[in-house]
Amino acid sequence: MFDIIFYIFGAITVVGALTTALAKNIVYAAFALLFTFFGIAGLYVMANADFLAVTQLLVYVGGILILLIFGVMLTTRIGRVDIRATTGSRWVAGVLALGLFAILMAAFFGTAATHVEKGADGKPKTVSSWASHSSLPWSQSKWNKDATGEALNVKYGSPDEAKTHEGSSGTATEIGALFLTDFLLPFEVISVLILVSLLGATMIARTEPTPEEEAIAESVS
Amino acid sequence: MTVGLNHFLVIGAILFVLGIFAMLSRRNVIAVLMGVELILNAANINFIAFSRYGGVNIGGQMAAIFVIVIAAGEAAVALAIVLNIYKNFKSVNPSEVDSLRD
Repeated sequence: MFDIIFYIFGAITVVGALTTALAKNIVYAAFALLFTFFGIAGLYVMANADFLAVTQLLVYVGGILILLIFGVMLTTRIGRVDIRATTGSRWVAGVLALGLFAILMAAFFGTAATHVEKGADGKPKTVSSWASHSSLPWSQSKWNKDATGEALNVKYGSPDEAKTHEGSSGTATEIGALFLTDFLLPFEVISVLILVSLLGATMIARTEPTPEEEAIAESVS
Repeated sequence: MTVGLNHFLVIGAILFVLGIFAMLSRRNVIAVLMGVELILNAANINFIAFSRYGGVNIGGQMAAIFVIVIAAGEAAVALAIVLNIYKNFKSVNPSEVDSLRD
């Protein structure tokens, strides 16, 4: 059941991304991006990141996508024929992208994460997973522990059994606590960053008043 | 084959590659921005996949939240810049936007 739902969300995500990258009509691309974001939110839920899924829907679908569609509407002249990518750059981009994909695949399937250790008789003995490597630096990290020092992967169960962990209150509590303890400085810094970027965006997008408008404003005041 | 780390990583890689393709081949700045969003989401999927299967746990989700916030700021600033480009050049084709001042 888990697998079927994963593949459904994965298919929604990949088809949406394909349409976004390939559609000739930019409005279609924008709406395909909506499906991609929904699919990704579903994938977050499958990975036990419920708070992230809600944030994804609120910020991406509710904010960024609306901004992008505004951008499309404000910059596309109605009735103008869309300029398509020239074939030359499309070929180069396609070859580069496929090469990158091949490298990534080689990296994913060639590393220890999927490595099956062979027993003495040549049969697969143990499947090593990332979490079982306690020597990996991040499994020792302090974020692997909750406030009482209990290791989180003990609390939530190891990844293999995390699928069935029930009765947990979700990740929102943990994330909220971390924001006000370990991540307080990054939280404040990013708050200032988003404030400055939004102010900057309004400053950049503001249109300078024409002389007539200035005259009207002065006569009113 | 049960769904594991690699399934998430492959979906992330597909999104990343499609984002790169959109950035390189598109002739509309807004579509290039969509490619950037795809790439940021691909990075987020990797963070979440490792937080679930890689023993990173909640730290990966914290990183993903910061990525989402930065993506929101980036979208706002980029849209403002694109609107200014359109005002000055009457075009959003990145190849035609080639002078710093008129």
